[in-house]
Amino acid sequence: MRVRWLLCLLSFWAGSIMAGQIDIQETRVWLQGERYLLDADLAYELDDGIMEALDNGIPVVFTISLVVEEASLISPELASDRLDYHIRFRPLTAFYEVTGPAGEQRSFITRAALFAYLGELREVPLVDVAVLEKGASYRYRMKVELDIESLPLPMRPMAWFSPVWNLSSGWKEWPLIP
Amino acid sequence: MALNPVKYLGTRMMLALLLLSALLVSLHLMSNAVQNSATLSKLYVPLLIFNSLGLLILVILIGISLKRLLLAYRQNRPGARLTLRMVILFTLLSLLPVGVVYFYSMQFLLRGIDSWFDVEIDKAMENALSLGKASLDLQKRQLLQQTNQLKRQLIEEGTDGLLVRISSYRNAVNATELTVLDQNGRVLASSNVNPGVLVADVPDIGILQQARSLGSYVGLASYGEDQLLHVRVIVADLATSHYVQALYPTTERVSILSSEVQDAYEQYQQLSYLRKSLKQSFSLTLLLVLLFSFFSAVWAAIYSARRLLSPVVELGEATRAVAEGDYTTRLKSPGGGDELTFLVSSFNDMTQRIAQARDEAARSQQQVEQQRQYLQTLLEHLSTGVISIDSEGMLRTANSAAGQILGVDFEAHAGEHIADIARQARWPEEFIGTLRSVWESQMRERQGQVSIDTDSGRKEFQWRTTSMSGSEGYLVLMFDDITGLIRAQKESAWGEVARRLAHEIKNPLTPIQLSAERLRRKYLGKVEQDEVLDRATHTIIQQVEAMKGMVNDFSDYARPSVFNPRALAFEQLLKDVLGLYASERALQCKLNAGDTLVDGDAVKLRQVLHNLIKNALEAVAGVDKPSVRIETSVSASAGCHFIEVRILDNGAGFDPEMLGRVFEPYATSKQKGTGLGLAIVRKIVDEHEGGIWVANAPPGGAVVILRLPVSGQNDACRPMPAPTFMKEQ
Repeated sequence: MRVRWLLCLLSFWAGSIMAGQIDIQETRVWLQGERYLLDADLAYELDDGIMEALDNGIPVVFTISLVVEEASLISPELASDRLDYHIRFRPLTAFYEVTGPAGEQRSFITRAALFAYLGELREVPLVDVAVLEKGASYRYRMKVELDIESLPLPMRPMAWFSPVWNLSSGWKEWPLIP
Repeated sequence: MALNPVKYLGTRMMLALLLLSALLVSLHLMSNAVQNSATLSKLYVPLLIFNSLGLLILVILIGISLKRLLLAYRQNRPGARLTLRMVILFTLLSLLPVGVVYFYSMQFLLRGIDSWFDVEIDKAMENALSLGKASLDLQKRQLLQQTNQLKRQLIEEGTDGLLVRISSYRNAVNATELTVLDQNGRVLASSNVNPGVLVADVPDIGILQQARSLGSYVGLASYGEDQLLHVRVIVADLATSHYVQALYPTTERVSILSSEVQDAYEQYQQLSYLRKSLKQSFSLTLLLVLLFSFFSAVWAAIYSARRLLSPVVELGEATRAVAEGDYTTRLKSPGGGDELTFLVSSFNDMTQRIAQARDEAARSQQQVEQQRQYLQTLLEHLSTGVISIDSEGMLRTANSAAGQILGVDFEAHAGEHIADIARQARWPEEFIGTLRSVWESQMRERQGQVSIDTDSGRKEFQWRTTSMSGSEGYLVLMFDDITGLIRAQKESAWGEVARRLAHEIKNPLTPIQLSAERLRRKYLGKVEQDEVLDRATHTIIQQVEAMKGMVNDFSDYARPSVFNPRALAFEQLLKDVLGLYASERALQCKLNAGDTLVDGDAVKLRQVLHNLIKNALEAVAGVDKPSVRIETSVSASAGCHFIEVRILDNGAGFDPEMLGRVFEPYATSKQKGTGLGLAIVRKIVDEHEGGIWVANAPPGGAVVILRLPVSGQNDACRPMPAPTFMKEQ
């Protein structure tokens, strides 16, 4: 009985490791006019289960969360943003269709092209210069995750407890010095 | 302090009802969420978790209740067995309909979901999509051909002035947008039907790679603000490595229809993919409803059983308490005016009446006990011996006076037959027969007089029998020791006789004596044959003297005694008396009393000792080897310390017929004497609260035992314990 439980736990652990991942590889912040913009390189490695669901018409939403805050113990939040990327597969055209945060749409014939597009985050407004004080220490945090709540309702209980669907890069932070 | 069970049950019921209500609401919300309610669908998982936790709490509560119930069942607590039985019954009754509903609901649900995905519908959807694709394929081929021609034209004319010419090319082929790209996908020239569109729609790298490898790419794309369906055609020129992309519009109707087919197919495909999840989701919700219904029923069963059986359980416990003698038990009425209320009310009335009856019985018992103690005290202080005998002749009770006067330990003989006790006590057979005839007949009122040899000598008893009222067949036998009374009567009679004798006889004796002496003086020596006169007058004078002595003895016996007791060393007194008999060779003494004192009158005690020694010496006169042994000792018996004097002789002993009345006046076997000696001795000994016994010694001769209480012991020596040989007789 104990061996069976152990095997169960091991398979769950192995499944969680092989379930795919989202990684924030690199971020760059640069000043354009009165605003700091963010470029980020992301790597999406999705499990076949997610791709199967996507190919079967299940829309998938990736959410990118951005927070700028003071680099102090209390860390008051200065700016935050949430970017949702809705992906769906169109059977007639056989395209992966991406709808961006501003409603812009892009279509991709291959998954590689799709994730290449999603992996290149460019010129995302981060924070206004006016919000930051010169010489003060700030940091910005970023997290990319699959939004389970956007999945169709019948899939949610399974997604809540499945490592395949619990995809998140976790919060990562970098210093921001005006 | 014990918690009130009803209040405790009420609090628990409120909590459980609260939990059940929350679960019910949560299940309802979850049901709405499953039905794709936009607001609640986001709460689906939290509701699922909440319901699961709620059910878990319910299961734990039920588990605790069942565990307690099983524990109570194992400990055989009142009502546990019945409660468990009712819980099982209620649970089974609820499980059956709930299970049936669940089974058929599941069947209906699963088949319903499966029916959505009928094979025909599936095929129809596929066909619709294929039809859409097929209808577009022809157009795609034409447009590819058209674009190829356009590419050749463009290549032939060169790229110079392309920016100017491209619009005309676009117009020529009636494209929405025409774009020329270099080998890296950069736009060299582009023209759009809408002049406002400045940025050309660049295909992704995958499409370009496909176009490069295959020479061309034809596909559908949604384009423009209205996202109308377009045909994207890309042809590659391998020589110049340029790409020509043209976006051709479809008709609005085709676009709308294609979009609708695509959306329908997509939705169908999505549902088809979610079929398993849908089933699981609905099954889970239904399962939660089932579990909720079932556990609610189980909890309701436990609660109802407890609630219903609570008065019965209390009644059982109270009945047990009553059985153990606690009549103060009162039950709280369950209310409602049903049969249970009536039962509890009747029980309370019953216990109240039992308590009253018990109190009454206790009071009566107390009165009876007081009466019994009163009678016991009365009986114990009666000088009359009282013995009760049952109808079988068995001894039931005897007061202490009976034991004392009859010399029988009746406590040791409790339950024995009175005839057996009587024989052991040496009661005369004649008297035993009389007693038997009394308890065997209906004539219970009898009385008589009997002489019984007791440890302290022969005693005279006045006895009476009577039946005991209230106890059928019981006989009460009463004894009065009248030995003293008879003796006193005899002594009184003898005293009267002696007094009259002394009075009547003494008066004529003196004139007789004087007359005899006068005759003697006047005629002795003066008449013939004066020897006769001398002998006759001498005899008269001598006999008159003897009669005077006898009359004096009678007078002494009848005269009231003057008793002057003081503490005196008895043995010294005895030695003084013995000194007078120093010449008697038959006397042998063994004195062991030492200086022990007795409270006595020295003159009277000396008279006693003189009398006893004189009698003994007279008894051995004429015996070959006369022997009179005198022994003294200090002994104790029954708490009484006394000096004992034994006088043993080897004479003829007492005449057995005389033995019982040697101490009566004028009871003598001697030729001489008045017969008052031992009577006077007995009188003096009685005055000293002592005792005197006579017996014939087994080898021959007589023994006289005199016992006098040691000084200060008088109270403990009433009556003086009899010597052992008297008990053996």
